Amino acid sequence: MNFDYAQLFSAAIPETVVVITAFLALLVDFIFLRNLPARTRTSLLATVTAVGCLSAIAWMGVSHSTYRLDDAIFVVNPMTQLVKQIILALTIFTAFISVQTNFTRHLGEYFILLLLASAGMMFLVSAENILAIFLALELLSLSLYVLTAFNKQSVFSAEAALKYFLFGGMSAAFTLFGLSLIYGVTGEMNLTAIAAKLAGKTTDPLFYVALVMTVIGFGFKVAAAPFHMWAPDAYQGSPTPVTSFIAAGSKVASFFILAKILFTGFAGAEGDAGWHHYISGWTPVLAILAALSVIIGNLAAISQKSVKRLLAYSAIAHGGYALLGILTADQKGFASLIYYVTTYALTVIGAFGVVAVVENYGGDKLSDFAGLSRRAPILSACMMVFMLSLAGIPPLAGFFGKFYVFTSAIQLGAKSLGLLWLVILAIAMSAVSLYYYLQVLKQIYVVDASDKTTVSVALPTQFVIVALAIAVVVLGCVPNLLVGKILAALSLG
Amino acid sequence: MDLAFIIIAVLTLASAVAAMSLRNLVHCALCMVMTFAGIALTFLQLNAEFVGLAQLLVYVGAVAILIVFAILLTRSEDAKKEVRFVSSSTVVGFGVVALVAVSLLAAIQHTQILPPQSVVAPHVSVKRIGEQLMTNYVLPLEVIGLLLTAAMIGAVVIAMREPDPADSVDVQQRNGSPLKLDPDSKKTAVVANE
Amino acid sequence: MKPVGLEHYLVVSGLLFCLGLWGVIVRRNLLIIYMSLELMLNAANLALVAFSRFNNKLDGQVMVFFVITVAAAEVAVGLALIVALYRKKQSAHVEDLTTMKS
Repeated sequence: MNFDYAQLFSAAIPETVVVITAFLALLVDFIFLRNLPARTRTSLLATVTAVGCLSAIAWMGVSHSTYRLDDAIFVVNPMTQLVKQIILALTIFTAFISVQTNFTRHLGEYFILLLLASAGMMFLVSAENILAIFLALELLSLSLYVLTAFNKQSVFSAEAALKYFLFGGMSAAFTLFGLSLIYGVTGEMNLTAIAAKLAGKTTDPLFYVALVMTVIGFGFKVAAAPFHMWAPDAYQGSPTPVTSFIAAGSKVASFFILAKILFTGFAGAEGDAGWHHYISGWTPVLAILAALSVIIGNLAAISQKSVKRLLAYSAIAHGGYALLGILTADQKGFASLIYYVTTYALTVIGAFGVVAVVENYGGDKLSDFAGLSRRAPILSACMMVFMLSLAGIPPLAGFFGKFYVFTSAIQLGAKSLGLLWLVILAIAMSAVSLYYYLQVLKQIYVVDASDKTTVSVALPTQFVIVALAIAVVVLGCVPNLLVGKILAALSLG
Repeated sequence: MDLAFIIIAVLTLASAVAAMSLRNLVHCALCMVMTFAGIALTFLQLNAEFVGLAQLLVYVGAVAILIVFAILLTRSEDAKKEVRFVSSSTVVGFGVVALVAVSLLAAIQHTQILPPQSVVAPHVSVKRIGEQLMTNYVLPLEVIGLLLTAAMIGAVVIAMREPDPADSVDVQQRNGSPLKLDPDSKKTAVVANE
Repeated sequence: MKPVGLEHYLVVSGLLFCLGLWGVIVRRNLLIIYMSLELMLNAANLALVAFSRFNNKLDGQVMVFFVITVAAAEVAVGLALIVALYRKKQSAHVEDLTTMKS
């Protein structure tokens, strides 16, 4: 029995670094920081987090190894490393946004859970095996449930966490049952072997049930309609930095793994989304989810009074657009998906960062944003960038993301006209979405403030928000910065 | 068909039905324990001794007791709130469950792709599982360690009683009170001197 | 009579899964909903062990071992959440999870 532990360890160094940083954060907080004021404490812990994550990112940038543990439990290739780097960057941003808020005394515990959730995402990204996917997903989800409940003063927080937990548990049960059926019909755990065993047998009813159950499970996870019920409450009730983490990091990781399962594991079981030739497979199922998400998300967002809730519904809609990227089921579609989710994540973290600041002066109602442009001009400018990017206005990253997803879907549709109806629907609905994003901006720039005090922002938070706004503009003007990297990683992996 | 299988299956399903439909929470929990035990027995029947015993220890032992504790901790006049009438959620629930059940059972009935069933059970000893856990599955084992750590820290933080802001003011006053008393005690000391 | 085969175990597992789903959708008490979720996970475990036995493979059982551990961790977090909510609202019912609907 020879097992190369050293090789596994060297492949898993980034994860190890993140986990060690997590425990270090708890330790440092316990030993040195207990008596400092909350804001200093958070800043120092966020710095520890940033140092750890940055060194993991740097390590992944330097070492270009590929690795594949037996049965594909842990796979390292340029693509997984790129996605992990993105996730770690999102973690750092979340950590610095936390400086602004003051929702808990248990800061060490907060940061260890944040980092463990990131580690869960990293393992998830590297998993190509049913068991590993399930475990990593659970590590991520459990940490997020707890983080959601972290604001002990607020009833909302406890309620949101419980809802998130119950729906998450349901999602886990569906995923597990679906995956266990797939294990049963193939006798394999790793996605490549599953695809090989399934070749040519994809019209079997039991396989179709397994497929639908797995997709339902992930539908809950990425909050695709009609499995989105938990999302508005969970987004509104969580402490704002946690909301941004759920909306950004967790979404990147979940979409990546969903795409991987569908592309690798169920390869050859795509079917067709056209109305006329209905072939069983995952494309029609996903097409329905995407259409419902885009419609329900955008329409429900219009009537929201709370900005966090509004962003939650907009997240559901954006999930729908991202599903469109998965539907194209080819390399270009995959690249467009990664670009889309990444830019969305950057934008939404920034937007929630602004919400976190404004929340300190009242709440997250639309009316609390009234006259923000006079009280905090820089912050308002950043918020404008984020909102316009979410709406998909041209020079910004959100526009290019949508453009990329839609064109790759249309190019595919040109062959069969299958996805064209969905693209048209998505474009129409993103025109609708402009309305509610402009509502937020109207409050900020047009409506007069009732409260005229200038808003003070913690320096690290301000820095991160401005950096994110710049990133959104730059990635929109020069999308090749990211797209080039994704395509290069794809061609290498 | 094997008589033992029929008895265990019927018992498991019946207690699951009871757990889902009884009104008294403690009865539900006890029926649930029966179901868990039935599942553990089915595992044993399938030659999965290790997993069967783990199921017995974890579910019948730990989980059931935790649930009963939680029931006792959160018990109020709960029973009367669980109103029983045909509400919209019952109808929806019935529809969804019927759909899932029919498609699942039909799929099991009509499937062609189940691999040929092997007559011999896999040779599973605790030693082999242990070897697997320490070699191939060593990384998932580490991940599960992290998961348990996260769950433990999380459960402690969530369930810990948080001092209310109002309470902490109380504490400050109480801490302050010896200082306030000090002049008095000095006075008394002075009085005593006089 | 036919010997007990994989289908029979799958039918039991499928029925247990549906019962759990029924409990999640219809029952109103959080603890019962929670137990129903556990039942759904157990149904999946049963399917895994049956597949492992009839495919003559070990990894299904290893996976069940992991799932049981995950479920135990979920119990800890889930019950802590229910207790924390009960402290705030003196209730363990789904109807009372509606503070945020504005």
